[in-house]
Amino acid sequence: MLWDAFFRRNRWERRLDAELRFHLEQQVQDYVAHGMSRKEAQRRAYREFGGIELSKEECRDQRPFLWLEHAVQDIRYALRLLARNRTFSVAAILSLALGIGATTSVFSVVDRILFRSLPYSDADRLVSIGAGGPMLPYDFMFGAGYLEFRRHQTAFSAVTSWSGVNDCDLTSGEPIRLQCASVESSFLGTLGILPALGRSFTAEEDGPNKPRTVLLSYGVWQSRFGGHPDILGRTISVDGEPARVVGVLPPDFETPTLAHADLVVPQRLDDATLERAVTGRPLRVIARLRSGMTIAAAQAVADVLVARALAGMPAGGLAREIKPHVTTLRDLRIGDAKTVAWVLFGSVLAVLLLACSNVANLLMARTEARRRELAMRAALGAGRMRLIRQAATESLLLAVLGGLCGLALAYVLLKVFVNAAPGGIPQLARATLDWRVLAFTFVCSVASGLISGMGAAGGRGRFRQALIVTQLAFSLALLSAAGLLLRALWRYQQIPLGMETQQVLTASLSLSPQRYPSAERRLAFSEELEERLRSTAMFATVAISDSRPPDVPLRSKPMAVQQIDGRPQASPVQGTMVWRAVTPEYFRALGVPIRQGRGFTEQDRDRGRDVMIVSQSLARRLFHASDAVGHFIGSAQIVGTAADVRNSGGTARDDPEYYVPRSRAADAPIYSAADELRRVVAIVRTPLAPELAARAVRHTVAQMDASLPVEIEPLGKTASRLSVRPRFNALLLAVFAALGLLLSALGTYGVLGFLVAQRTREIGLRIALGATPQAMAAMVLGNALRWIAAGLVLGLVLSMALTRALNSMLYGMTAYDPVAWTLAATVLVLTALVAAWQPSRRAARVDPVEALRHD
Amino acid sequence: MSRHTDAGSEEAELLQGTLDMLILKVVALGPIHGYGIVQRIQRISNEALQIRQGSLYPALYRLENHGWLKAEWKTTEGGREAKFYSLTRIGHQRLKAETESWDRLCSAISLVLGTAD
Repeated sequence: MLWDAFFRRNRWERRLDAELRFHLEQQVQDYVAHGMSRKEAQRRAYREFGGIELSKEECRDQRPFLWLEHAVQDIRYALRLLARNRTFSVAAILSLALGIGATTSVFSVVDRILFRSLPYSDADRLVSIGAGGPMLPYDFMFGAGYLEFRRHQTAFSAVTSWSGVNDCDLTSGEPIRLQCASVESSFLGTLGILPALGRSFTAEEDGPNKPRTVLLSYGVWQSRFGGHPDILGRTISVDGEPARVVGVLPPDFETPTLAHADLVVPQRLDDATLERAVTGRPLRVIARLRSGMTIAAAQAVADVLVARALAGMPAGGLAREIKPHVTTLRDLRIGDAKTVAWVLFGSVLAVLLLACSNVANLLMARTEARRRELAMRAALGAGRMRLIRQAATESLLLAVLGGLCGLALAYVLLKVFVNAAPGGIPQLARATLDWRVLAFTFVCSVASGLISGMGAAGGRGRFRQALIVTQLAFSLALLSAAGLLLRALWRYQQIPLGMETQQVLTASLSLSPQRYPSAERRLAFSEELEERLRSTAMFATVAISDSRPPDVPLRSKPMAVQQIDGRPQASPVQGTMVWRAVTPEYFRALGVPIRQGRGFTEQDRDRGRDVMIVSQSLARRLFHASDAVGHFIGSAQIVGTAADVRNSGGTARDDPEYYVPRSRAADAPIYSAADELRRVVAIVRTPLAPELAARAVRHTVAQMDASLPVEIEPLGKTASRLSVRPRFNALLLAVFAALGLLLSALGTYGVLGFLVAQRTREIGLRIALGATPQAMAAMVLGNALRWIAAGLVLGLVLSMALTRALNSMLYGMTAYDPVAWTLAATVLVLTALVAAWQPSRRAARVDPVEALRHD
Repeated sequence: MSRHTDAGSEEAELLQGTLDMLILKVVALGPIHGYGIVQRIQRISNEALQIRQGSLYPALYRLENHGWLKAEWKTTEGGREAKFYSLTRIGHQRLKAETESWDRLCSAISLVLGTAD
């Protein structure tokens, strides 16, 4: 029956007819049976029934699925309208496609950063807890402190620790270098990660002298072991030692810092070892909040904890810089990407809003033009609801079409983003258009359809002008943010690199602990490498270091605790300084000028020599621009000052730096830390072509150890990566700003054009009464100028708010940049005036005779 | 279908609701066509209730749409094709509910009228 009603309307109508006819005929029959004449009976029956057509119409209104029928009608009507006004439709769909496409592509990127749940159970209750300061780039606790915390805390239902991710070698079969995460045995349990196969570690397996066990990542299990379940219990060789496989991690396993890990191994610390570790190896601590505990309460716990730890510490200046931190795991994972993500998402939502208001404006103009048609249809009996529904259908249809085009655009944009983006934006490479993103796009489309539809329904002239002003304001905010980022980028790139990158090659290698177990062996290797490279006639200069600029040096120290000339600092300097151990040729190889004093000599490498060279910025910070040479930092005497070299790796501000000579004594204090001397970077200045030189270096390394992987790169290429990330941020924002500008220019043009069309008679009349065409053009332009002025004021407020959020993306540049704002405002005013130009010309060209004859 | 709520159109609403209830009651007695419903209501009420025939069919379609009535084309005694309505299960429930609320309303009204005396 329902089927019939909807799809066989004719049959339904025939049956309705038949039913009513039966009723009437029955009545007539009855009357005739009571002795009435047939004619009289018919007349009476019809009269008693009342209006037959009205009754039928009321029956039709009860037809099942009537709404669906109406919807189909509305859609067909809307499609006809869209096909009839091609310009309008193209403009509206294009606006929405731009807005939705940009929003969708950005959402697919930021979703993984900001919104998607983490692959841990009840992840919102997981926090990282520890002390942060200028010593290490992450929050940490030392073993003894951690043990006490774990034993006495009550705020958390579970507490665990891990030691981060380090290089390790899988030595069974063909050796490869992998990344190993070292964890406490309770790590997986606390995070709520269930192994895909096997089990997690037990407490008995975690200790310094226990037989080794290992969990494989899903990827390694698949690629190296063919995904066979019989891997469990098998023994593989990690760093040359046998390790029993106890389990396989799930495919979606991620470390809390998102650092890539191929294997997970116990960190080999039992409670007895922890107890003794008052300092030394820093642990990263993760805890699960007890239900009912808040982050604030956890912070209070951390405050007490760190205060207790610091109480026993002599250093006066540093204590002020050490802060207890409680960070949600989500924030820990994304770090500084959070701001970028929110800024991008905010900007792209602004673009979407601009698109919506454009469509609202277009729809409004159309509604105005169709007012007569609508009035006629209302007079012919179309219900008010029906008319509103029709308008809504139209804007929703526009939104769906716009959404489909937007999806195609998003696909392309996402490809571009992923390819243009530098490494280090968490999860970017994994961003895809999956169902979450599709759902988001759908919601976006429907919302923008409703917003534009409601905007169009609600608004008259004033509202429309308010829309334009808002558009201009948003555009200004976007433009000034983009301008700010571009200017910051420009200034960032203006900072001299501090070295000469041409004809310089770096070769990085990492010595595995099982082949090079002692500091002596490692030092011997690097010294032999240095000798061999130096004896190759092709290389003009050869230096050995442990890292290369502009990458961040491996080691850092807080400045505040350093004794200057044997005394603690009177007013401790805050912040971090970084250092590298280098051979004397380092400065010549990289072309870093020595500004004062001297460079290192071979004698400086002798046992017991304690000298250093400081960067100019460190000299400025610690010695206030006076000559640093001859002073002492700690026990080391400063022998020279070197020019500043970029050393931020392109992610932050550059730090002050110092250099110590690479001692020939393996027991020198600079080598005392565990794993010291593992990383070796050879820096080679050569007149040869890069490929040729690279081959020669590779050959030399292979002669010494054929199994050692070596990574060779021209320094110019390394340095060019420095500004990739700021460039990417600036590029994205600039694209959005351009989109926003385009949309608001379209909006201004559309509304002004419509106003002129609407006021054609008035303008004609004025011209007929003696107004000059110029005055009419000026009137239209004046309108536009008023909007622009209002937009500028509002936009200034908006951009103030936005740029404050941008602060962390500016690499130390100030967020208050009047030049950027002035530039943005100029661009906006010019664009708006260009958009207003054509409508104002049209106003000037109105022919009074034509205009007054109109209608 | 809300009833007795809109003060402005109380009478119309009341009448419509009453008509629905009457239809349900009559159909509950056995399958019957539209004309039969009119006849039966008039006969049972001793011609006191006159149904506007024009509003009967929209009401039938509405009740059918709600799923309270089901319809079937059958042959009458006179050998003609007619659409016969009968009550569905939820139609029965509806009738029961309507009757109860009608009774409550009536007793409430007579209570009020009784007190006023």
